[in-house]
Amino acid sequence: MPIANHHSSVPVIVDEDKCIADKGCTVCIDVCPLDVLWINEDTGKAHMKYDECWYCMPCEADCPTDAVTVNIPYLLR
Amino acid sequence: MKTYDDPELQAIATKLSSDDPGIRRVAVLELVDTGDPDAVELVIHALQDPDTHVRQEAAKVVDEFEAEDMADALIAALSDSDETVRNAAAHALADLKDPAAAEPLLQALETSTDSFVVSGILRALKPLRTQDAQRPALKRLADADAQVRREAVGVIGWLKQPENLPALVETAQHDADPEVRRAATGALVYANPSQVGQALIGLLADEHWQVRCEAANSIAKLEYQAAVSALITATSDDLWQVREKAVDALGKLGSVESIPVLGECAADAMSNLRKAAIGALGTIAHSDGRPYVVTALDDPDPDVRKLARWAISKLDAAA
Repeated sequence: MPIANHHSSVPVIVDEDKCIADKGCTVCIDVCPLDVLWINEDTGKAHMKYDECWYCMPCEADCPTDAVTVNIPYLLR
Repeated sequence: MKTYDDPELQAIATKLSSDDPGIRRVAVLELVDTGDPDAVELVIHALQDPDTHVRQEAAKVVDEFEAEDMADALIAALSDSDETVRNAAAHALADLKDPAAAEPLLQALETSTDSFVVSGILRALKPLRTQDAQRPALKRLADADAQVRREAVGVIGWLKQPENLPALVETAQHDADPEVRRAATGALVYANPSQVGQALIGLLADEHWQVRCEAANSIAKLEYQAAVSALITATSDDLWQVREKAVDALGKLGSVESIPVLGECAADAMSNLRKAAIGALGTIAHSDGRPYVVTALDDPDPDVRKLARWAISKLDAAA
């Protein structure tokens, strides 16, 4: 039986064009209470490494460039 | 660029002289956490950065520092090409509340022509309550820009000088912009009721509802008893918002003769108005109002019922 291509998505999406983590910004990483945001070694941009999100939103609110979007699941809205 | 003893600050200073605006921007973000008074120079430097984002970021952090050290830079930032920077500078200036900032602000006011800058300076001058601001503020009451006139009214209102009352009354009655008229109407409350009472009664009939609301508020604050009949007329205004304020004012004035009108309002379809009417009847606490309050105990709106119970206790206490 063929295996389906594994598709996964995380609730915190970082717009890499806007993110300035490669310039030394760590605002979202610092505010995250669960420490689930990390710098992607390849791009130098922030990304969600572990999907343990509480949807608490400071990463989105504090991002200086509005690069972070938190997609709150429909049932939690 | 200057060197700093503090290695942390030096690191930020180095980043701030980077060619990459992104790195300069992040350096500004880090400035906030230094807590070093020397960092002010770097903020001023960043406020003059060629990159808009860096200036915006700097404008956001200015209130973390001693503003008097950068009053000049903030005033310069009021003429920034970017609106976010201008806004942040105006807000930071308004937060100064430092008498030392009055002098540079007044100088900048003298020479500024841009409306946005002028209103920012006036807003910053307002809480300083310096007498020297009176003359320029009075002059700006005739400015072509409504926002400038609005801020000028604020400055004059905070100065609370009786000699400015005629100018404020004139503005409240005849300014073309409703928000300016509203602000001036609200500013009249420092007067002696006899000086502005008649004007306030006239303003109860202003064409703009917010001015009418403000007039009722001001009458209540001044406790101008001669306005009772005008307020009673205002309780049949077209807009419930105005009626609500008029009813509030009648309550504050303790007007017994208005009780039948308040009773009508207590049966209005708009629950906010019923609430205000019951509140007023409770404040007046006259037995004539009791039947209306008793009826309101069964009001469909829980807020009205709650207030009715309070009003009953006031009536019982007064009996």
